Amino acid sequence: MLLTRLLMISLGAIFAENFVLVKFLGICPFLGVSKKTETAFGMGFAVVFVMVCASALTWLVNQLLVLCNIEYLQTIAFILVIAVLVQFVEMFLRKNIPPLYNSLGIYLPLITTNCAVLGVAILNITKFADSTTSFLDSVVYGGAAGLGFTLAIILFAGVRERLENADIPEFLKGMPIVLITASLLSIAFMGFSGMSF
Amino acid sequence: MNKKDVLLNGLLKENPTFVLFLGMCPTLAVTTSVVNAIGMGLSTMVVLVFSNLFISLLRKFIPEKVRIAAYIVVIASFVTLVEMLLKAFLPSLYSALGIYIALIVVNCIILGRAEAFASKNNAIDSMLDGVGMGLGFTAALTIIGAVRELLGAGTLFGFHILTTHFQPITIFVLAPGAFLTLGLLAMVKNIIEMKKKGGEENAVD
Amino acid sequence: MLKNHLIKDALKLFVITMVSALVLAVANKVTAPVIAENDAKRQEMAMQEVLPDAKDFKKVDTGGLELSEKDVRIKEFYTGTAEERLVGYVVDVVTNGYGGELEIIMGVGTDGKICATKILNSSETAGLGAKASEPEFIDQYKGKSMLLSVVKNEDADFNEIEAISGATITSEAVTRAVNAGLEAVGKRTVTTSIDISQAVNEEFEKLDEESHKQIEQVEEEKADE
Repeated sequence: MLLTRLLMISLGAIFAENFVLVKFLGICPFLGVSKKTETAFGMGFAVVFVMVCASALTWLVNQLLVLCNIEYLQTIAFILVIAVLVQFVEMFLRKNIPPLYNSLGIYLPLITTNCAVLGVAILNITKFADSTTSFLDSVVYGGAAGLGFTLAIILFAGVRERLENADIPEFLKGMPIVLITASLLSIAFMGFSGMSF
Repeated sequence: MNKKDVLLNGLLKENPTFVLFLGMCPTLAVTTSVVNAIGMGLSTMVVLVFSNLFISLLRKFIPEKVRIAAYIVVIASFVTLVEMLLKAFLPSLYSALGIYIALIVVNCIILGRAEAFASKNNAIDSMLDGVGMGLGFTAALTIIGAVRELLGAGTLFGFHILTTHFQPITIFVLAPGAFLTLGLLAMVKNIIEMKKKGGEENAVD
Repeated sequence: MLKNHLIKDALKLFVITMVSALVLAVANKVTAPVIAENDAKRQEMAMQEVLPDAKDFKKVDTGGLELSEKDVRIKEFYTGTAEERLVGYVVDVVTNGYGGELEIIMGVGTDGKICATKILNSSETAGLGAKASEPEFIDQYKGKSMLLSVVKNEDADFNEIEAISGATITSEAVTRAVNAGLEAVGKRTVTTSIDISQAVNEEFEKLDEESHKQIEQVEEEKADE
């Protein structure tokens, strides 16, 4: 049934194949924006929005590329679509939700270079090549992947906020402790890998 | 900076992986074996050198307002070229690197160098910067790949190095191991730096 | 003034994009045939490896084949012949493994037994699922001709496959693909048998008609006398 299938796709993208902790997509913003839970929330939802729109738009663009037999232009076409999309989101947020725009700062335009966004666009094409409902699959997968990213980034921000008050040895301060913490979170998510979707 | 400094900068002082912490996604994803790590590093270096070269050559032509989009088009073109060449002439490396070849486009190192260096320097220097950063990145990936492959599978370059009584610590070739290896290596670097600083302070005394 | 600037900027960006697209079109023209040739050669070699007795391979259309296994897809199906004699079948099956798509190719003889299985494409974990390509695991499928299941202990029955320890999902994926391949061969053999017996029936009917005609002729001649 279609609904079951979409649910399975979503659960897979959020847990068993979490984009950040399993597929290693979106690491730079994951390590960069996760210092405070509020910024993490904002970044997460911006990414979800961009991923859903990007999935839809790149699906359409891909149909055009296939029609004209120029599939090798996929990478260029997709990244341009994403760049334009992020630009629009930036303009929209600056006008309508200025506090969110300000708190995200430079991380907003950096969503363009977030490998998770380009990654999900490309994965949509390969994963759902034989599906009859590939447009719906792609959009749902995009949204779910974004939610998985948001989940990871919020969890991580929570942990990091606690770490601020902890007594960390000098040689672990900075990147080392952050990365080791990420590895523990990744181990936790490995618990989902037995669930087949 | 003279030419030698430009080249060495990317290797040590501003190593993209251990100092700037850029390009994390491929660093964690493709370092499950030394061969994959070197392959990814060199592919990235090729794209970096050529995109640096062309962006430097075009730096007076590219308008400031659309420069990021322009950089992205140039970088994406070279990535697609590398992708085609790999698929045609090195298919096994192509399937090993998979989606991460296309993701070289959004490797923050390349965009970062385009913005910070290539757009402001001449062609030769930009190419040298590309080589230096590329080699620094490749070296970092290779070290991480070596640790992960040796501890996680007991092999190096596919050859069994640690056999018989060594039980591979499989987690190193899995997702958590990537974070762990990079974190531990970053810690080692911190320790080395602290010792150096401590040594200098003692010498002053 | 600003509008002029924007248009000029956009035009420059457009020029850069067009030049890039052209360069890529040329590169594509050069590399696409090489890629296609490599793929064909690789496929040919793999087919020969899993069905060594065959000399020629002919692709067969299996569109619309209904399989009992879900999450599998028959990518390609070939009949293998040597000097006009049917030697067996080669099936290329795709399924989902642990780390992504898993593609296997298997050769099945006319006796319904698997000659060999080979993993073509996989992105399984190194040291775990990747071990599926090793003879220790993949040779288990040789000689099997019935639907298989995966077990974790070391006492695998004749219709069971011992899983790779720590890589159950990969082991089950490969087995699933093999089962689908066997099912496809089974259905194909049935179809072939039906085709053959239909053809034989048609021949008999033709001969029957001819002999009836001859009998009529003879009787006519007799009546004329």
